Amino acid sequence: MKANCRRFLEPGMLAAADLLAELREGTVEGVSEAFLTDPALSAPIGGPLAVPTSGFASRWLFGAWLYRELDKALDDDSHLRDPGLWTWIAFRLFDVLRPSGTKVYENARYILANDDYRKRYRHLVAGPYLVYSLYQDEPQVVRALLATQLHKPGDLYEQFASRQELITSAAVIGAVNRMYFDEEGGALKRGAAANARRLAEVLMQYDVTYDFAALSTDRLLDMLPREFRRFLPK
Amino acid sequence: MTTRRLNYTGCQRIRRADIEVSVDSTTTPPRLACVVDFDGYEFPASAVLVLEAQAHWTLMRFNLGTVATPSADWFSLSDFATAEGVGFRVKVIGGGDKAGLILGEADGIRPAEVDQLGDARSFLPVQPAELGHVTWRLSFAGPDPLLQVNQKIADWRSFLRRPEVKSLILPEVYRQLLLEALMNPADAESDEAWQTAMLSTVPAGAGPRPLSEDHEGCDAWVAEATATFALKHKMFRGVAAWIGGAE
Repeated sequence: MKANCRRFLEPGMLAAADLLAELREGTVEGVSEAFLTDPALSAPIGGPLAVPTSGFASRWLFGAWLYRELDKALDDDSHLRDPGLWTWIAFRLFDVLRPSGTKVYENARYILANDDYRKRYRHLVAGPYLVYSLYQDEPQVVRALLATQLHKPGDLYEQFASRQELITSAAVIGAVNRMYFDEEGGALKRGAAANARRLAEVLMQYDVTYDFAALSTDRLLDMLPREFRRFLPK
Repeated sequence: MTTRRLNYTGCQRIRRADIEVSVDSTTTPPRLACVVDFDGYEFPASAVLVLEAQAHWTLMRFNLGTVATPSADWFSLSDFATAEGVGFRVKVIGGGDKAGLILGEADGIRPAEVDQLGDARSFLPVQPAELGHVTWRLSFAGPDPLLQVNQKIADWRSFLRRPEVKSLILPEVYRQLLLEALMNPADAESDEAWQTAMLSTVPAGAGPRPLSEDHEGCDAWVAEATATFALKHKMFRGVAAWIGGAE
């Protein structure tokens, strides 16, 4: 199934917040087609955007899929800066983002909080897309960050996506992937999320002293203290 | 939880007042230039100067040369639609056995739009004109002074916004304007008169204002005020960066 890509206008963004409240209260069942295509709430900005009929095994697979889809659907990359686009996609894919039986989470997961750096990265659509596109030349490197289910970003993602200094550093993200992603199992190593919280703290301390852009992943891994030995590549 | 970050390695804090980031938003995408005054700091001459521009997860890094030979180039903020909301951070990075170490840093830098051409800007319109081989001149033919720029310079707005050009032109523009304001004062000292605005830029410490008949006194007073203006805006930094030498 495909529907033309749209962006929510200001009334649409407000209506989206109201709809989330109603979904939480259970007064409405889901997101209607009429809500998504009402010209008073949204405007078309691109070609067809596929709506997957089944879920994705990980946020990484979702990010890869969306990266390809938006590349086809949008002829102008400036739309990627539009919170209305991300919010509309979240509601378009609401059933994919909210598997049956799961709750409706905070608004920032569905409505892009573009001006709030503490919440912006939490968006369930923009988050995986932006992380994937940030490392589009070597997307395998963000497998660990995006290893969880679509509706569960997880603590590892939270620790690194919430810190500009870390998420934008190729050396850091490379180290995170080498330490915490089990290539054979295709999933996070056991205990990764808890260890990542401490790693983020240590790296923020390193950021005072080292220019991450001048460091390689190998060099950064060499610098880590013994407490991370369990996760360091052999 | 906020993690306290400790500076164990003696990274020098560069004062924001010693950094001038100029953003030109008249171009698409916007562009920027950066000049750092290293006077009073102890950085190796070979240390690398880097400017980072960041908004959300978009990060651009610009290599600004070394401490000894900084670059005066303009750089395109090609990854940003607008300079609004972009944060700037300057780093001095070590080389050799200190490779990758941050030797000096300043963050939270507020850029200046290049339209803000100093104290003289608000009452000085600029216009391209046929000037032959003269690059620029001040005209006092009309009720207000006019800065004329040779029309052969196609992108004259950008030309005037270059740090090195500002360094060369603005002190002399300031001197001529001030001298004219002093020698040919407005009929009455009204707030609207450009002369009043111009004379108000001179700090009180410059001493008593000479009478317009006292030509020598006017010259000396204006020269002193111009030197103060140039010092306040660190006008030589643009030239120093351009020629690659110390101030």
